[in-house]
Amino acid sequence: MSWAQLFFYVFAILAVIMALMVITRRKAVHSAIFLILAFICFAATYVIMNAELLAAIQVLVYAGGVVGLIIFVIMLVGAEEGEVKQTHGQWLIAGFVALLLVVEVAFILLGTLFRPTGALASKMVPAGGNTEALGVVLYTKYLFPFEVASVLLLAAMIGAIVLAKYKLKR
Amino acid sequence: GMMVLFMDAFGAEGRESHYGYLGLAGLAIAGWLAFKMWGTHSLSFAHTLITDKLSIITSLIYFLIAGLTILFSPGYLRQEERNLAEYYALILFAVVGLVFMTSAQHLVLFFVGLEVLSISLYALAGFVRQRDLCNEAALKYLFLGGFASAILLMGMAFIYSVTGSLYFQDVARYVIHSHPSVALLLGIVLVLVGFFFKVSAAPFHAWAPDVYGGAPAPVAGFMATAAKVAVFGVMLRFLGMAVYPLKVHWIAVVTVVSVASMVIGNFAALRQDNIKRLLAYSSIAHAGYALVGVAAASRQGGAAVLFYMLAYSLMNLGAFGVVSLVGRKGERYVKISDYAGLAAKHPVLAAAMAICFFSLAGVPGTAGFMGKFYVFASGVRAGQIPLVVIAVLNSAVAAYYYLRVVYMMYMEEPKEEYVFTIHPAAVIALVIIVIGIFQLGLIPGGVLSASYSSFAWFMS
Amino acid sequence: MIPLSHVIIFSLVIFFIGVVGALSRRNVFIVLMSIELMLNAVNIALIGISSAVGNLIGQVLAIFIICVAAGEAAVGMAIVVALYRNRFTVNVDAFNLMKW
Repeated sequence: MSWAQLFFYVFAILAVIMALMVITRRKAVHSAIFLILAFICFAATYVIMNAELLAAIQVLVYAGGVVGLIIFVIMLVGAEEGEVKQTHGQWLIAGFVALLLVVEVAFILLGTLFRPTGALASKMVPAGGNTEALGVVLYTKYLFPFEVASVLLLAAMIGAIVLAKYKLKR
Repeated sequence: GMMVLFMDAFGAEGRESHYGYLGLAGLAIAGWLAFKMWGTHSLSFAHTLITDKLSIITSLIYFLIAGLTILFSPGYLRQEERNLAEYYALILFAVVGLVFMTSAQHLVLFFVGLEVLSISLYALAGFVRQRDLCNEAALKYLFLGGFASAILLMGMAFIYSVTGSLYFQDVARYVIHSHPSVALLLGIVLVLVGFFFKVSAAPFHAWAPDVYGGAPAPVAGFMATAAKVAVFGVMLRFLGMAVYPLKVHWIAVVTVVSVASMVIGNFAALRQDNIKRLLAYSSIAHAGYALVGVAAASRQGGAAVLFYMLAYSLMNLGAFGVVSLVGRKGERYVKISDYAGLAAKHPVLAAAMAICFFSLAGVPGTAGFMGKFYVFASGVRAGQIPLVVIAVLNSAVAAYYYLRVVYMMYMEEPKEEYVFTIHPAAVIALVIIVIGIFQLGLIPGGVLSASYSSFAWFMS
Repeated sequence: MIPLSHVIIFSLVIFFIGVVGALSRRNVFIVLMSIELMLNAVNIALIGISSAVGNLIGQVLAIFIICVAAGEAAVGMAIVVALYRNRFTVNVDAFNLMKW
């Protein structure tokens, strides 16, 4: 059990605990903080799976930006007026549906555990590290989806402004 | 690339609805460019984008739908005092997303196109923000859209894990050469689940009535038509090109979903009194009819589905357009009973609505009938006899609730007088739709041969 | 090294935590966070697979997913703000204007 594997399992379990906390907390702010911790654990697992650039992006964009935005809006909207006790019925139904999915997919995956393709996460460290390799691929083969992604962000911005801006001047 | 630049240039923010007409001009130019590129069959941008006949046809359909939606919008927006140019910019961004979804040769480009479409539709669904219904529709659409995308992505991850690449050709090469492993099948099923969510086919249709009911009428029309055409286009391309050899597996799934959506769509619509929700359920049923063509898994099937989608888009847009007109401020008059005696007061409008509903019901001579005829014919030729029988029975049931509305308009006497202004642009749109319905209904040859040839090179 | 199946099982567990969160909780924010969790679970799976398969397509898709999720969160928050302005509650089940 090399160190990397040990770290991977530690962070994986930590992330699972954090994720569970996210959906069980009563107050929205608490679950947001646990979400940040979960994202940081995810970033750690990315590093172990030799995707350093993505780990950095993950921490910056997700943990910093998205959750920051969510916390900001939680404060603005003041979602703290306490949640009415949700009926257990709903919890059970959701749990049951999820359980069904887990069992079904796990069963299939267990069947394929011993796939001939050798499910080893190979130690593939490309020359110049992950960032450069990723940059090369992103700007040559995938330039076009990159452009479309920029259109997407523009649309998201306009959509957000239209929906939320206080006084839309004529 | 050119098309996008034109659309983006005209999608500039500005004021008043003349930007709508600017947007329209942009669409016309883009449509003309697409038509000029008809013959080309080229891979561009490192094989991620393919401009073959299928992508050109679907692009032309989007331009038509977007143009008609824009024509319906100025009157509606002025009525709701939300006359912002962002509305037209968002519609043009949605069209950008649509164009890239169906001309994607690579799942990454398809996903990004799908998200561009979805995000602009989230904003459009909640556009008239003073109305609670609109916000709620946008919120529900956002939840289910995010949910569906996550499932779609998980499916892509599984396909990627087995084949090592997300190009349609690579997936096809892998599928031909080796025995399909369980993970690949799971990936395909999850991707199909994502598609069914977006098309609001049966087991995943729960969101459609609420979102179509809540969103502003022209947007609901755009959503119901454009998004469905795109997802069906991609479904045909994905199933036809990437995983065609696994035909036996996915035909079973598609058949079951088709039957479910037809039955649920039709029977639920029977007791609807809100006209927008009735149209939402009818769109679920129409998704079911189109799935019959997909289940046929043949070139005729693909062509029939494309033709059906064009016919469906025209009549659905017409119906939603008239709803946006009659619905007055804040869309209070959306009960079917509010349409009583419309013919007495506004014969032209009532006639247009009647034609749309006849076509939806599939009355011979209209586009709807031709669409259904070709889809069922391809289904029979592919040996899906039980499926087609169910489909025919369902369309009989469907005829009832369509004609009930027409009956309400013509036979009942008007409760109170109708006071609403009809924006000239909307009249033009209705005229185009009515001409389109009859043209497709009586002389479908041209469009059908074009859509048939668009599947020439990949489906067997 | 780390067998791929462990990575996939890990990401599936997170995915289903997200599913449970999205379906059962009634606070808008927690549902949105659960959807973010689900998208992140897909990211984990993709990165694991891309290192196992050897090419970088998985990580490229992961970048696009992060970009999309950010855009979606932004529009989601805008809708919540608009909704809050109309009505002073953010419980999902409070929105039952649309009867079945």
